[in-house]
Amino acid sequence: MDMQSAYRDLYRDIVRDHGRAPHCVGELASATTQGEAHNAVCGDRVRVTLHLDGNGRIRELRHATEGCLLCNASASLMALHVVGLRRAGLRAMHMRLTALITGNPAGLLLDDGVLPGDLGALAGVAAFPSRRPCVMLPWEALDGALCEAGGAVLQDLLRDQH
Amino acid sequence: MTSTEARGEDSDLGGARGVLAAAQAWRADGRSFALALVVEAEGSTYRKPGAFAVIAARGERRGALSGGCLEPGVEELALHALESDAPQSAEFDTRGDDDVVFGSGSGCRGRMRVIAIPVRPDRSSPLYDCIVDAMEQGEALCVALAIEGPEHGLGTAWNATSEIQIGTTPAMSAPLAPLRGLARGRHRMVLQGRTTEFALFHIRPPLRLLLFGAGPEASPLLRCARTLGWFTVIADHREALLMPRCLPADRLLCARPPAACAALDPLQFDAAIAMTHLASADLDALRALAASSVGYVGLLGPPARRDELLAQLDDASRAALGGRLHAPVGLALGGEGPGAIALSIVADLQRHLAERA
Repeated sequence: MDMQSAYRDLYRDIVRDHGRAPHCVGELASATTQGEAHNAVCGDRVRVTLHLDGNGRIRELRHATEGCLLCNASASLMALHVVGLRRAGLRAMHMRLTALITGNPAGLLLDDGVLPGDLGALAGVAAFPSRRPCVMLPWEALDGALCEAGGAVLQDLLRDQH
Repeated sequence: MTSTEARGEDSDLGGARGVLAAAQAWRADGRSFALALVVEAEGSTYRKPGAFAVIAARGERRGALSGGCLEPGVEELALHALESDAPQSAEFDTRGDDDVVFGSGSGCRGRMRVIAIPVRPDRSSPLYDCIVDAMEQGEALCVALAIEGPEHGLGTAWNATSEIQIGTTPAMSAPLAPLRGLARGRHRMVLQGRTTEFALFHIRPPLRLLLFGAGPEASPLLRCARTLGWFTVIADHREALLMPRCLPADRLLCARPPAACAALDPLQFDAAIAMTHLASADLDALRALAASSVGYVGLLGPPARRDELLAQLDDASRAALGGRLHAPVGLALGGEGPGAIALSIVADLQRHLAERA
């Protein structure tokens, strides 16, 4: 097996694992804000509840996702990697994820480089444009929660994609 | 004898006829659209070669080439064909593990090649036009299209009586003549001096069904048939039963079976069913159909009634019906009442149609 195939298999396994057994599932009792997004075409629905501290940093996040394997995996990965970030960091991560799944390598060089941890495993969706909304739906829900808390972070970017 | 053309709403019409009805309406309105046609399939796929859908410029569609999982890709392909004003083809492959996770997510494990051909109101479109003609005439159409290289989308189509060039001239398509003797599938042929891969497939016309008798099961049967896009004619001599609002057939005919057969030419039908609930009228229908070559002759009613009616036919008629007679008509699904009877008849006709293909 060549290196490329090995990475592809590894990424696929990561996405499958997160999709079948997503992390950070549920409702956050101590939530300071919440957001919801749904895709009327495929029926996916994501609700996020999060706790923002006084500095606008995400302390904790939970998601309730009714969706396909890819949407569940994306919500799970997002929930693991956005904790500790403020708006600027979220915006950069969102831009890099968008670049990754649209097959735009230039976008990956923004700011300080590559996506953290397992988020890069979502790169496989670049070959399937019709599934990109499944990956981005949890981020729309997150954006909704941040708007609710005051001030959009990702809205402009999300609008550009649609 | 009176005859009525009685079509329901076009939105009720399904199958290939429903797709073409929408396309013809767009064309009459001066709108462009793409004909998206399955030309190859392998493994488990929702549709098979010869199936088609139409997609208009604003993404409006009629027909489906998948259960939904591949439709965004098909729409993208169709819009690309419209924008480039040239045929475009794409392969939709759900066989790999990547497709299950990142792609369609369907898990069907099949491969389907689709070609999208732009159809514009201001010029002829040979393939689309000959599909419309074939469906209207109830004729099968054989199509061979180049599926790769600069010639992709070019080819030829033929039926029993004529041949149509698709983007080619008779001289260009002459080397394709041997395709006529080949089986469906992929073939390598020479076009314009280049060896090119061709997909050869058939487009089947809708089933053509003749019903004798407008009893209670006729209405649900005709509604099902319309959903499937079948061409239907119903004949009954009881004028009070022939209510166009309740009987969504293509044609209603007020006539007894012998007169109906004389007026209609039973040769045009794939299937005919005697279901008048009157022994004498059903016997007339069987006698007329015995003299025809309709491939599927159905008789509604229990076995004992069937045997009594057959005993009243002469030997020649009984022999002529032979293996064509399906009596009692319908699959043994169980249940009772007009809806269940109609469903069992439609199910058996669908089985017959699939075996014919």
